[in-house]
Amino acid sequence: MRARTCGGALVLALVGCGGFDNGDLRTGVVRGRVLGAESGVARVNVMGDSELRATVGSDGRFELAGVPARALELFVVASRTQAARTTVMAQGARVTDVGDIQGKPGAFLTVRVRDEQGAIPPDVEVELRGTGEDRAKVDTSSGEVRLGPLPAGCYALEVKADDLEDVETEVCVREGEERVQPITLPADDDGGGDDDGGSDDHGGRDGG
Amino acid sequence: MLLPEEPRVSRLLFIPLVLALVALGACRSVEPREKGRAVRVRLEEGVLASAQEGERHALLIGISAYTDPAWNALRYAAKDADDLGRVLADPVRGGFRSVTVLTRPEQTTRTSVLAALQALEARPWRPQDTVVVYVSGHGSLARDVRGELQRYLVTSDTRYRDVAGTGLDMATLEQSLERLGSRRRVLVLATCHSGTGKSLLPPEVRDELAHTKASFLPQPLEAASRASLVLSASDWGEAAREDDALANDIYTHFLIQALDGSGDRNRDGAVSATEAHDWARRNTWAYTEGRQRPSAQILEVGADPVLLSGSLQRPGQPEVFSYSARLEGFTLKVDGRDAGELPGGVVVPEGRRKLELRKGGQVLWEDTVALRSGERRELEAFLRPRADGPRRTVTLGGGVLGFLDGQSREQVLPASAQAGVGLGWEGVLLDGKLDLWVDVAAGQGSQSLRLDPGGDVPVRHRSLLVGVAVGPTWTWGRLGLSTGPRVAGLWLQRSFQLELLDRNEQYVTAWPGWMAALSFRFSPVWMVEARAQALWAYVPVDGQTRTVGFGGLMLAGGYRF
Repeated sequence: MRARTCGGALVLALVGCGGFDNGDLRTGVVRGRVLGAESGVARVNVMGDSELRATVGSDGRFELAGVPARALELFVVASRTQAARTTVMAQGARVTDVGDIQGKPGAFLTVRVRDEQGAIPPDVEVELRGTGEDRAKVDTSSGEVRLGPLPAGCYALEVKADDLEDVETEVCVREGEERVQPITLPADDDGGGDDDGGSDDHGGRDGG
Repeated sequence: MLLPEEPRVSRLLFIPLVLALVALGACRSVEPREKGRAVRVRLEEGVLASAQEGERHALLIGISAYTDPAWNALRYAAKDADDLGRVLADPVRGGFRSVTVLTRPEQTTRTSVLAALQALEARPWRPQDTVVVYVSGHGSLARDVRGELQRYLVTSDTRYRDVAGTGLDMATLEQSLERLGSRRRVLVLATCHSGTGKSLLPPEVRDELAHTKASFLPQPLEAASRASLVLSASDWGEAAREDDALANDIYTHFLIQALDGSGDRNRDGAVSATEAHDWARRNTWAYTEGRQRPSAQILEVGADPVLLSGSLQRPGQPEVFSYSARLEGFTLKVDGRDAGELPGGVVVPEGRRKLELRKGGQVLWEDTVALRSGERRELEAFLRPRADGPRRTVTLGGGVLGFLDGQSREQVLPASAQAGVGLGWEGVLLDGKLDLWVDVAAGQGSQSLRLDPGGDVPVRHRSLLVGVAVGPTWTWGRLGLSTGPRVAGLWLQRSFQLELLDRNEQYVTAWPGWMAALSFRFSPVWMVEARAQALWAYVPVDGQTRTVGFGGLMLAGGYRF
């Protein structure tokens, strides 16, 4: 009898109805308006998360859904020449309006790629990580690619080429700056181009 | 009527003996519907008249002389019976229809006393008749045929070496009274069995008592008697004393004095048995400087007091009284002022009065009671509901309730303020060893969850808790500590009214746990309490279950009833 009573109490303790779910509280929506937005060019995405991106309407309005509710930075391209970065504190299960974002003259980064012999490597791709920019192919005749407009700030630049070692380096640009970033891709002893273990030592040696 | 034909035996033949007075207390019993509640007694005009209906009869036995020289003669036992009989027979005072006084040696033999009791039984008694039996003489203790120690009245022919075989055991006296048809019976004993004063014990009994703890002694008669009213000249183990200056047994002297009208405490024109006893008790106590404490056992008290002298002329002043041994030594305060010590009765001014029972610095009971003229209230009855049944406490308070870990408070449900009511029954389980508590608490709040990611998310939350706990309570004076297992049913709800989420979530479950409470009684009925509880909680969050602690602290004020 006593065992039955204890068992009943245990069952009561273990059985419950309902529960709590915080999933919907961890993301929110961020919206705003990009001033001077150029249709077809303007876009917004969350720095560091290339998947979170939104197009900008003709009125400059944008809305990012499923944004993690935390402090984050938006990468905004307003037009072919203007861009901006802005911070925002996204709130869970709520809409955070960042208001109007005024684009500023963007910087342009020209990445000049060479191998250790000074030759132009074939099939070189360049990416500014976390900006949402697609990977850009280096022109095989000039060995360069031009990225921009970029809001002033620092970026992680990643350069990959077949049969050469990948290179990743940080590049900082100022508002309206035209910058050339030379990159030398060392030979890949392992013969692979998927190695991310590139070194900054190969970048910037000819920069200026 | 005092019977003149009763010759007095020479005092030279008297041996100091027991003086026993048996008085009949007629009392209307408490109405059944009032059982367990305060006895409210009010003397209306009709009751006044009925209280004086019926005849009063008395059998007074004073045994001063003894055949066996081993018993010391008592100088005033016979005189006590005579003096009391004179007052009872006086039409102006006692107004008794018959007063039989037995004082001569041949009238006070065992056989004669039994014959007198049988004659008393043979009378056609009516319930409203009053009978008083008074015995003054030696008392003694002896082993009966079963080997049990019994009280005996030493009659004039009782042999010192054979008390059990030749004395009159008090049980026989008591049973004889019980057989009377009257409901107003008073037995007054001016005897003792302590071996001192008006008592003499056989050597073997004295030796045995010297080596026996008091708790093994037979109960005092007034504790075991089923007669209506038993008045005793001395407390158990004390000597009942004669006094040359008073020329009487001390208690009897003041009892007679009370019947002169001095004992009419409530000024209703009559002296009741309890009034007379209270007068005699207080004066005996003072006269003997505390060495002799007359006692009383009242088993039935009704609207009509047992009147020993005078007649009811008007409703008396309100009275409260107690002859309970457990209240002995308590002081009754009326409106903050000392009104008298217990046992006994106290006159209280008419109206709503604050009554307190105190001993030392402690208050046993206090209450405001409306008293009207003619009322007699038994103090024991005020206390009875608490003493007899499980005491209950209702509490009302507030506190805080929530998860014990900070992470759950931040991510699941913040702690919330609670208001609650509780009900406790003291000693209802396991032969009075365990208490039972039931409580309900509800609360709500509007705070924020702190999620990462998620940030601060406003949430409104509500909770309802219904708990049951059992456990013992230890008390140290006014302080009490209770602890024990607990089970609580819990309903938790949180509500989000956000731009992207309008949702209520709830969880219902029962959790086991433990509780502990610290209480402080600042009066017999009012108390404060701090009660903590901890529950083993099993909560589903984001599809996974968490085992966490849940608890709270409540501060409450309580009322005991």
